[in-house]
Amino acid sequence: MRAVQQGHTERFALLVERYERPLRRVAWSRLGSLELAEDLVQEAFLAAFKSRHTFKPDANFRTWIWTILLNLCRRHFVRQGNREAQVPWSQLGPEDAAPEPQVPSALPGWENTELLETLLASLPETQGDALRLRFFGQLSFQEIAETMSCSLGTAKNRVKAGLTQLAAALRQSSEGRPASANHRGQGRTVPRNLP
Amino acid sequence: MNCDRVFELLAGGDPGSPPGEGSLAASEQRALAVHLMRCPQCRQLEQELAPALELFKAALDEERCAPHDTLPNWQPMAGSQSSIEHAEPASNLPWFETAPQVERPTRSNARRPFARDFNISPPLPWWRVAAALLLGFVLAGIAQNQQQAPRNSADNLLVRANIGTPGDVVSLAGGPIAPLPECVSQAALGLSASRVCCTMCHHADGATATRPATKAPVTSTLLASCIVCHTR
Repeated sequence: MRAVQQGHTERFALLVERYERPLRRVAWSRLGSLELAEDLVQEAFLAAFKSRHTFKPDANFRTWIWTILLNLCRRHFVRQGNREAQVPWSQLGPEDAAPEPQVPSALPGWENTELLETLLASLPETQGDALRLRFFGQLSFQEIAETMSCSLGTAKNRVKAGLTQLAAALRQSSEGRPASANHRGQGRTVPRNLP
Repeated sequence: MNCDRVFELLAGGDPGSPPGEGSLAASEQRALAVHLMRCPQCRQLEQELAPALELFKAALDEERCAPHDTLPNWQPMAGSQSSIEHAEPASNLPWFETAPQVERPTRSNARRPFARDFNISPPLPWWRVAAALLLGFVLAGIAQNQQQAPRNSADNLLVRANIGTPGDVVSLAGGPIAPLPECVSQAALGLSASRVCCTMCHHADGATATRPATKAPVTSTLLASCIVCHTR
């Protein structure tokens, strides 16, 4: 990044090549659409390039780009929420209640991924993001803490709490279905309010 | 190896390596096994987290087996994606600001999640608090002035009662009161003598004229005599 700041802008392609895949994986996990995830990753790199002069040499580019991506994901949901929240709450009826989350019909070869994504989406945002950064982004706990602007202990706690809730949801889910299902099945109910 | 390190190894191992037993060095794997044998809490944690870690491992294996850059589309469940509810306003997004996110002071950032999680409105800015205090002081001053108004009226009564003794009148409030003009004093002296009036005492005989020692008798005298008539 220092070379890019000094004018070797072609070196930015190396950074894109290095970080694109994990960034896209996490963005996909957040958004559920590969096209949208690619757009957002591209936007993150553009934003980083545009504000390259503000990057401090002693800072970590890895955590910086992850922070940008998470903020863009959040902003996407804000936009989406603004678009969808046109009806006042007072005018909503029982028929407008959110449906019970269901595991979508599994694509062949992607059953575990879909189940995992559904469960991650049911976690609190901070825990879900911490797990995504840890397992999909391969970030260390220190990097997760810097990316999410929290302490190291908080980052570890978020990962631990997220894993605990995932495991509890899986156990609860497996108790309510035949043991031979092996995470497969259609229309399986995922606990909405995890313990 | 301590429990903290055990959790790090259980939760994905070292960065850059895929989660799972195979990603650990042999020595570290041995140390982990020894620690798990000795530490019941870590053993319980491992058992507790095992289903989630297995699911992560299975999902990552699926991706590795899939063709390059292939990921299926999936739809986040309505109502299950909490990021919509907890998202920050777009104006707070810092990605275009000058300093990198990791360099920014986190005190204000740290306060936001608390307010968000507990549905508490953010603290008021200092200038609003200062303006509210200032307004409070002004209103309190106005109210105090209105309470002092009867006292000022009593001072006026005293002045009227001391017509003809200019310069040495003491008000109930404690401070000197400016003397009335001479014409007013003369007019007071011309009042009917049949009325019991302290003005008469003060001016008919200078020797017998008594100055009130305290404020309370003065007030009672005034109310009992000239003030009632003169102020009508």
